[in-house]
Amino acid sequence: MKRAILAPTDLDNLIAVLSERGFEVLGPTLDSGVVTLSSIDSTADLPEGIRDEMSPGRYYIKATSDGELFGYAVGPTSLKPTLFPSRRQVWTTENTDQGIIFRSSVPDLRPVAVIGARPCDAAAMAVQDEALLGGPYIDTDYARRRRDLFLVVVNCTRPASTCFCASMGTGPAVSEGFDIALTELKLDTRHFFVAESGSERGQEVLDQLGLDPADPDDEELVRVALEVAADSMERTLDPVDAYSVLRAQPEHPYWETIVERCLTCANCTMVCPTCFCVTTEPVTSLGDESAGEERRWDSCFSLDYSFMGGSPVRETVESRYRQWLTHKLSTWFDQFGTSGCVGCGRCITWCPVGIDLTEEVRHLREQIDA
Amino acid sequence: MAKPSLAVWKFASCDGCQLSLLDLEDELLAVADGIDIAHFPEATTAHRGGPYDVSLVEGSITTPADLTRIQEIRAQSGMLVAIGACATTGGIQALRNLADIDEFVRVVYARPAYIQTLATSTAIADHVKVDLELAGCPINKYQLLEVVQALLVGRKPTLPTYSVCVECKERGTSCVMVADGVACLGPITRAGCGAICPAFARGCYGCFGPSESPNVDSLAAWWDELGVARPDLVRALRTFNVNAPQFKEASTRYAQE
Repeated sequence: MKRAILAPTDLDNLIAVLSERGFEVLGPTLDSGVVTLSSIDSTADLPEGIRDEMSPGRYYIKATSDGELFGYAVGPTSLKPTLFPSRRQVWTTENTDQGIIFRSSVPDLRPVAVIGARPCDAAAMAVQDEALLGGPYIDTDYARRRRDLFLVVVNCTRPASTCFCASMGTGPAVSEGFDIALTELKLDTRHFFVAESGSERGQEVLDQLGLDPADPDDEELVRVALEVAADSMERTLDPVDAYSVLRAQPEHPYWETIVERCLTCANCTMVCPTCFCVTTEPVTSLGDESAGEERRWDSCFSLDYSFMGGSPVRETVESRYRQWLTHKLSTWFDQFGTSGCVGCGRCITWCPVGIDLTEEVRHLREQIDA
Repeated sequence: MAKPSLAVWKFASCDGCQLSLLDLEDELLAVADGIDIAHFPEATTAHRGGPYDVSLVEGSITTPADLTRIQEIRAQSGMLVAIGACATTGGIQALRNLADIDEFVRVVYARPAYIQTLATSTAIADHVKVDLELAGCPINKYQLLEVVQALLVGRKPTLPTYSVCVECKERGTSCVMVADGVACLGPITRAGCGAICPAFARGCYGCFGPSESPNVDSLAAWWDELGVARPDLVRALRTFNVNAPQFKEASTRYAQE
């Protein structure tokens, strides 16, 4: 696809065009001290000049006056809550003269356009696609939200210290699954985006904006910016090595060392953009005798999650952590053909005690080799 | 089918939990329609004798008289539900368990000889078989409603035992500890409140008591890094659920350091 130059004012036009096409437009916003994803009306809603600094268990926001609109890496909110809500009604019943009638719950949804998702978010969406749409049993609610999603990815030029997408092959430039990809460039004299389309309707929208084509110098600037971003990532994870090291010794004493730190609080699985485990809960009401079922995010860190035959199968902390890490980085390949990790680093930042999976894999490798 | 009868009982407590039943304003009529309220002094002077299908028991056991009364209540109750931090762990009054009760009595009462009290404040389950426990100071009224709804149709009520963090993430509250450096007990505290405090940028203060597998030591080490002094950590663990085994054991150890 031919690349185009998009000025910050064109970004406002993009938001307007998507809105006119019937989308609810979501974008990064600063809320309660974190960059999150919510409804936006214009670029004025974006966290201008904001940087995020992260380390295991810590997240900081820093304000600058440089005017960059996407100068941060990732907040706690991936695309997951938009495509795969934390709680939703699955079905309801109604008592009638003919008996009980069951009804699938199909919410009235407005199509969503997201501006400013990251390449790791697009990669995570592809992983969830495989899990939720890839087999014989389709998650129809996810399928609907996914079909209607218009995705504008903004490539990462300022990864956080917790990011490791370059080593996972999922960033800092997006390769697929997007409608429009942007790279923000802020030079001394110019502030602009280089845009490319990743779908027919993405191209349609770009055409509608009437943009100038990017010249080779601008494309070179993008290439260099993304190369610098990739090289700046402090953390790495080798997905192929992780695949084998995690399954090598499930009974290794290393796993017991995690007991000292893991809170089993489930934060890692909640912020993980690919974790898709759910449970269902019955709902009954007092008055009209209607009933139903709700589905909510569950976690392999909760005891109830592995409750079978009268007790939890994974009672110990180490068995739950091992389940998470082994599934995420190893058995996911067997099940879905890819790693379950996209290198976004959210589980590192948002673990309340800063457990870093890249470190854990390294320690396990060292101990097995020793 | 006869409506199941309900009795509400009070031991050492502030009444806040049993008032949650009356606080169910929108659902109260449906509740009253579905169950037969046989004994509930906070709501009505009408009283019918037992046995009762369900008893809600609020408060902790703190006096010799409580010891006999809870046995009588157990004997005339089909299902016994302990409600609130007092009834499930001993409540804030279980701070007495760490001190000399005789000294308290001497300091507080003009005529200590008239006071008959136990040295400890303990949970209902320490004395009789409890069928279900609702944590919290106070309980979440919607959890109480969930119990009533479940009982009426004969299903198991949904009462989470995982951490408050799950509820923060579910409602989209960003982590106050990670983002703001605010000391929070959420990772070791049982969900059920709906993660109210972090939604107001406050750390969870653990009023629902320990979660299903709390790692108090790991969180304590992190609080050290946040700059919380150990005496403050001990105080944080010694509030409404001071007598909960995991909080008690850890806070006792930290206090002795």
